[in-house]
Amino acid sequence: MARRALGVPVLLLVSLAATGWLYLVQPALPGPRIGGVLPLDELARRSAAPLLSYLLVWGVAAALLGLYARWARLERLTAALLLGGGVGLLGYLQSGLSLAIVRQISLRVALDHAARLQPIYLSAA
Amino acid sequence: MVAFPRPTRRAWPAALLALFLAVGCAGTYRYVANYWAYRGFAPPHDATYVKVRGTASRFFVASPALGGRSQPVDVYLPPGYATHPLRRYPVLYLLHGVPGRPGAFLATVRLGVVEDELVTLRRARPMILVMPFGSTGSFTDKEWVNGVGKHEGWETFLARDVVRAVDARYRTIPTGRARALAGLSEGGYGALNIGLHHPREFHVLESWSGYERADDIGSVFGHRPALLRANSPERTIFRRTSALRREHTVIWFYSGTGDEELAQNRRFARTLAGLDLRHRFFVVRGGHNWALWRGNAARAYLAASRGLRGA
Repeated sequence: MARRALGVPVLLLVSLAATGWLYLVQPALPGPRIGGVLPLDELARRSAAPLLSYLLVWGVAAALLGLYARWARLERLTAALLLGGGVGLLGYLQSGLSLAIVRQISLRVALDHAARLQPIYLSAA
Repeated sequence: MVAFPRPTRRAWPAALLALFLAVGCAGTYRYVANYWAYRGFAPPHDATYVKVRGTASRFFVASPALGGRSQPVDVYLPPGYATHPLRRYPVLYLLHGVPGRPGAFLATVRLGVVEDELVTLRRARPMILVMPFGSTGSFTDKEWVNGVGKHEGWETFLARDVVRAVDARYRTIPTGRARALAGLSEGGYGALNIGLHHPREFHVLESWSGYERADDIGSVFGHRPALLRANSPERTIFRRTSALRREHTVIWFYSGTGDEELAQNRRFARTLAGLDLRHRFFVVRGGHNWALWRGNAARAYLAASRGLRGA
């Protein structure tokens, strides 16, 4: 039970850390880019990240969440749904809040815009 | 030889997780800190051709208009200020918006770099940039007006206390003809409002994405119609027309295509044209944000420099 209770903080920390990694490796890799990954940098036109680094970072994050699920003895399908949904929800809220701050628009409108961002669905997947 | 114990198989995932979290959280901290300081832009730095840079400093003004409250005032002294001890300079006062703080004019709008570059290229005259903090907190709205509350004389703080303190402390040209007043968003409204109330104090008024109708904020105006009217440039302009003409005041303002206040600004431009007052209004592609103000910083500096040419 105690292991399962750690689920929310682990999810939160891994999501935050993934954003941090994307910020750090953002300029490093060539290739196609995916927009809206770092919404706080939108005004500076640096909100896109290389697709390769995006997949790499979220791949590692997913592997770590998978290890956590095993350690917490979560059932596979439940873990996938909960952790995937959690990552998506956190990404959605984080992007919405960031867009509200950056674009100086209401949180409701910002959340509408955030729902159209590809990276949220990609990270959840 | 010291023998380290071999890590167990279970330790590896934990170590990997710790590494991922530690580096990632450090990155998130940098991401947020860079937004807080520079709004996501790269930190400002001068072009290589700039040999002499300006210098930033801060002092405090104990303002009688604010009941003696001590407010920070950021100053950017132009390149060459220290090496030309006999020279006097015009002053560009800059009013921040809300949420806001004065440091953003140098860190995000990069106005210090703009001044260094334009002065080096001899495209503009050097000016002292003065950026007072017009609130009690970054998220507290004061609208740069003399509000209904006790010791809430933010307009007087700027137009009287800060101007006097700056003239006493720095080698300014201490006349209204050598002062420009600019601001962004709420600060743009403040620049117009204060400038119209004090036509002899400021010769150039600049509003970057500002507005001309007082925002009915209870804590500031107490919902008093008379106070709202007296602080709405779209209304006060009619009473100040002759003074503005006499002083040859220049009103320079712009708005973004996606700005909610664009229609209000367009209307004000039509009013100014109808009254035959010196002004320039233009619309730029963009919203109500830092990219717009940063992108138009050089134009704003040049407009102030040209407007103060006679001083």
